[in-house]
Amino acid sequence: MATTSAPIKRSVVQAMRADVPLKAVIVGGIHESFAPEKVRYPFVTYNLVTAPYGDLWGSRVIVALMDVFAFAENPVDANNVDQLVLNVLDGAALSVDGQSALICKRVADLPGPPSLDSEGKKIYQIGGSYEIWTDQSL
Amino acid sequence: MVFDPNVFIEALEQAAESATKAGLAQVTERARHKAPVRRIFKGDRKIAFKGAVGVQGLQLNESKGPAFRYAERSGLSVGLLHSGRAFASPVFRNIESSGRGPVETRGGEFVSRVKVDPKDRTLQLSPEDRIARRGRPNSLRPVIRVEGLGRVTGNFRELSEPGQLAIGMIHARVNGRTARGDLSSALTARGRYEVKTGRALNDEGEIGGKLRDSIHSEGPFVTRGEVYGFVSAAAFNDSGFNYAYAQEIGTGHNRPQPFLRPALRELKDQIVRGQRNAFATALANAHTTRSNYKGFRRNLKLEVDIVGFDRLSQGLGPAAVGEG
Repeated sequence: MATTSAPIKRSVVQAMRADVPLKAVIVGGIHESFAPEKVRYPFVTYNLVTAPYGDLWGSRVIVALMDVFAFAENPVDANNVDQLVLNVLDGAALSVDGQSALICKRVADLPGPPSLDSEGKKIYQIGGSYEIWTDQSL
Repeated sequence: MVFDPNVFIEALEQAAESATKAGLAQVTERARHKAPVRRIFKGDRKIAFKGAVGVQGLQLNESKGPAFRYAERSGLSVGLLHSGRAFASPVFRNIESSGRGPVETRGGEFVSRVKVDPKDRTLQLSPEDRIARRGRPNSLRPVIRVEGLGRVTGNFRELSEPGQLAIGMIHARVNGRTARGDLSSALTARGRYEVKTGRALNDEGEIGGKLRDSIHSEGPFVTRGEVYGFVSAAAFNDSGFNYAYAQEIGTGHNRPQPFLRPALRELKDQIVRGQRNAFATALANAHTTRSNYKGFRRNLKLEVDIVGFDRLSQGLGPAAVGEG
């Protein structure tokens, strides 16, 4: 049975949660797309940007692009968390349900400008895009 | 015919340029389709509405628009939609007044008392013709509530001339009685706010779709054997913040709605196929028309890499299509 890009997201989150140093640092947790209000910093968000399918002779390749961002109250923390995320995901052998993960690599840095949150605190958003290739038989 | 390497390389570059240009157009179109548009209409309309700005007379005839045909069928006759060209002058934006818009009929042509001065593009308004709001919805197929008539539906946009935009007041006449309705009844609360403030007005006097309309392509450029171009978006709010980037990647507490990178990646295979075809055509032409092409090919290591890549830069957010 073919599976969608949802298991890819799940595997990325699993990999981040399984990393002890990263999990210890991100007190605000990991959130899809955006975090609720009053979540403590730093935290991590991830978002599936796109996942086009490529079908070929009975197999399907999904090339998913995911953004993973670290949010922190100072740029050093944000960069440190981003580095930890990079350590976990870049070149990781992900375990994707129903699919064979071919590669997971960081393809771009995404530095965000500092912004003000609802309390007027300056927040730094730093992250990157990860490309995840998976293959599954149809 | 003697084979000329320079001509051949030039042909390749031209092929790359035309293929890249086509790719840029495709990505731009797809990105516009994907760009988030402020939801300002009730129901499932994700259409930006247009602010009517300059006001001119509008010729109506029976062949124009479903609104008119609807009116005919239902025994109504549409009296007027104000229409106007799509330019926004600060003068117009700041007009605040009653919102009534009577018309004069002159040989079948409905003429508003609101005039546009063609020299400085400002408006001359008689007191009763002033427009209550800074922007007006029009590009929709709304169901509007008309005083004394109940609900009326139709595609009111088609009533305006090409290059003109209708504004929100509709006058109808039934059984000798005039009624009027305001398209703003089709707006959400957010839509009414946007109309009132004119916050999302773009340079053409449209409200909503500012980000979508800002998406454009640049290029193709040729630099040292590389042909490349960009698709970019830049939409600024009142504070000067480019929210195109924020929409693409999201912020801590606002969900991202990517539109540039998905557009590029979804079309990547198609673009690369187009580039390959362009090169194949150039190669085939060289092969069939140039007698010493094979010798040239043996002696010259010709490398053509075709790449589609995306890159996001802060503040602008372009996706790029490239080939070399």
